Amino acid sequence: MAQSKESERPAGPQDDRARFEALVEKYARRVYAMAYRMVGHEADAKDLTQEALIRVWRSMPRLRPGVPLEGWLYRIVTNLFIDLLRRRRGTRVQSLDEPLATEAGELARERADHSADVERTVLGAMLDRRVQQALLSLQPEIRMVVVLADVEGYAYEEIASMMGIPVGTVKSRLHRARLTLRDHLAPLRDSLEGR
Amino acid sequence: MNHRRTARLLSAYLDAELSSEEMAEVQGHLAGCLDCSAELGELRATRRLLSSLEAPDLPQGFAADLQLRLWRRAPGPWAWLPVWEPRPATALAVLALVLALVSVPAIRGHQHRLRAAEIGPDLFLRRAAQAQARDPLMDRAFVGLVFTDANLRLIGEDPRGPVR
Repeated sequence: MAQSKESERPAGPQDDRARFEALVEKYARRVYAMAYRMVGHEADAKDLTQEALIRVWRSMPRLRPGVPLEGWLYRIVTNLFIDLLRRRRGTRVQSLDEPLATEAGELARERADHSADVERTVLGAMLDRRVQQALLSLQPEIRMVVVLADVEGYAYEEIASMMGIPVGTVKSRLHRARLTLRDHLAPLRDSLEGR
Repeated sequence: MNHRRTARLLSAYLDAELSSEEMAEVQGHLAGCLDCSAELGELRATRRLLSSLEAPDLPQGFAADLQLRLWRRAPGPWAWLPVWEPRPATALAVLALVLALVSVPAIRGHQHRLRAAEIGPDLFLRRAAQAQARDPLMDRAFVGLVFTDANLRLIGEDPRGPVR
């Protein structure tokens, strides 16, 4: 938010704006990571993240002070992700067999700076792509749970409150997700263990 | 604890998200069940794969783009009002409704004028009064007046011969 200029902004409650900018500063990357795992595509993930943040900004005036921001943010984000993906299901269907060539390229390019070990980079990108493909085979509401639990590392209770669903539902969705992923990823696991 | 129930609890067991009794029960079952132990191992490996995924960095220009999108619908003092977003379907529906409201009376009026020209204004008026007489809510006196008026005119035109 460093690019923002005071003069460009129409009058709005200043404390809301400060809160929003702090929120973006703190959570944008995490929300983006969640979005990325939900859609498996950089441009879509960016779009989804921004849409979520814009909704957060728009409902800012209705937020009572003292309400914990983080929980409220994730409630908006998770519901929006599921909602948009459900609606979009008909239009963008990603096949499991379809090679995500551009993505592997993107990932390799992204990580090349961080890691000098080319082999590990390529292997990491391949692994990432395969796991991502498996994730995309899940229904959005199930995918959201497994992304929050296993990729982001949240506890069941936290996920239940983020998504506004009972802990029992988190438990069953996560188990279903893992069973499906286990089947999809069996060849990958075997090849990794055999190494 | 039976095999099926244990199988359902394996994920939660892996995450230590069960009550202490359930944890102990699953543990007890695992000691004697090779299938469940194997499944637990697979689930653990799957979880490990997922947690090994790296968090992607925010794409270049993320903040600038977000600012742009926010300015486009920047809330001012009217932030509580519903945000105006393009809704093509709604716009089309409204347009169709307006067109119908304007064109239906216009077309019907035109048809009436044509009909009146065709059969003569007095007979047209008489038929219109006849049609109105069927309306139970219509003022009978008024309909009667129109009727009589039209009849008289029709009779008055009798010298010129019968109306077509």
